[in-house]
Amino acid sequence: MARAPDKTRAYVMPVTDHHDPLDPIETALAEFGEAERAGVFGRTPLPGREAWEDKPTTIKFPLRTLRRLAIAATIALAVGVWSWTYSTRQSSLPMQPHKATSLQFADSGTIQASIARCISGPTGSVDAACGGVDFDGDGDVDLADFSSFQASFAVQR
Amino acid sequence: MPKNRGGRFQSADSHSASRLDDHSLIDASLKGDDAALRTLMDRYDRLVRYAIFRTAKRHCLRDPQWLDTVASDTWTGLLRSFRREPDKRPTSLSTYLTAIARFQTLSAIRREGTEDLGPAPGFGPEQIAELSSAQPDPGTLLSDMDSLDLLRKCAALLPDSDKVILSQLNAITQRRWVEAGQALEMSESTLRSRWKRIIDRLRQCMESKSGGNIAPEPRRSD
Repeated sequence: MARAPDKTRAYVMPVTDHHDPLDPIETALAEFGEAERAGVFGRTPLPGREAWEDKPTTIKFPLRTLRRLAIAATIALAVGVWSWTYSTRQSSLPMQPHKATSLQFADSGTIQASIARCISGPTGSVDAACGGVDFDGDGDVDLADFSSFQASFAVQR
Repeated sequence: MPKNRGGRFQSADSHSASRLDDHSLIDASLKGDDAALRTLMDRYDRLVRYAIFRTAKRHCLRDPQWLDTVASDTWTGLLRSFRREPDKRPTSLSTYLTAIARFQTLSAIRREGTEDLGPAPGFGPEQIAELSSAQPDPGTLLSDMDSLDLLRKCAALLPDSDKVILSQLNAITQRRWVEAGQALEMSESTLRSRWKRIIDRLRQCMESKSGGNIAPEPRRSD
């Protein structure tokens, strides 16, 4: 097969001499050529003010605040609903004496009636029927016993 | 210093702006003084453009508009960062700008990778990771840029007959002598001898103007 002339072969396959290293000046020239082709020596146009100025925050700030407010309102609503549900359920329970008296009377009206009937004053004495309302055990039925009864009669919801 | 009359900022002319320091220029730019911004860009734009070129040479060569876009993004990013945090000023603006240029370059490369065009040739995740880890030194960049500027000035002093040969620079530096000779319509041996003379002239010119610094060392391209 006939060999193609050198001139033709140069177009088909560029003849590159790899045994001829580049001089530092040539290296710099190659870099310079690339930099010029890339436009390194050009001038960057002045950026427009609208490009770097942040947009007004009057829209951004209320949106952020509104989001936080919505979260706070949701939490407050949930707490309110839970609180209302709990209080409604508790209020449906009957009122009970918090602390039982020593005689475990059925209701406070009976005790009050007993105190009114048995009251003898601080210097009086207690008969056998009224021994149950001598709460402080000092041998009489007086206002101290009534006060003691009031203090022990708390209402538990 | 730009004058502030009647509560409204008056634009500084380019002559007075050129005497201001970087931070004063930044302040004036943020107040809307275009002359101050232009002065600041005149000082550092070539560093920004060269940093982008060194980070993504192939992208820049593929589309010269790409470099303009990323450089513009870099300046926009600088002003935006100062706008957001006016109290925080870097000690070295050149280092700060180089970092922003690098960030914008990598962001642009990543954006291209996510578009339908596909990633640019030679840039995969590994290459991007490698670029992210390397930190360009602004001092080195400026020094290299000065060498290139000097080379450009020396090349401009060559006679026209030699400048024609420089048009085949790409083929010659790739040692495609035959191809370059055919394009210049001269024999390979003539081209080689004339090229040697051109290099000698450039070397003499650069040595005389730079005090011995000939050219930057060969570096790995991206």
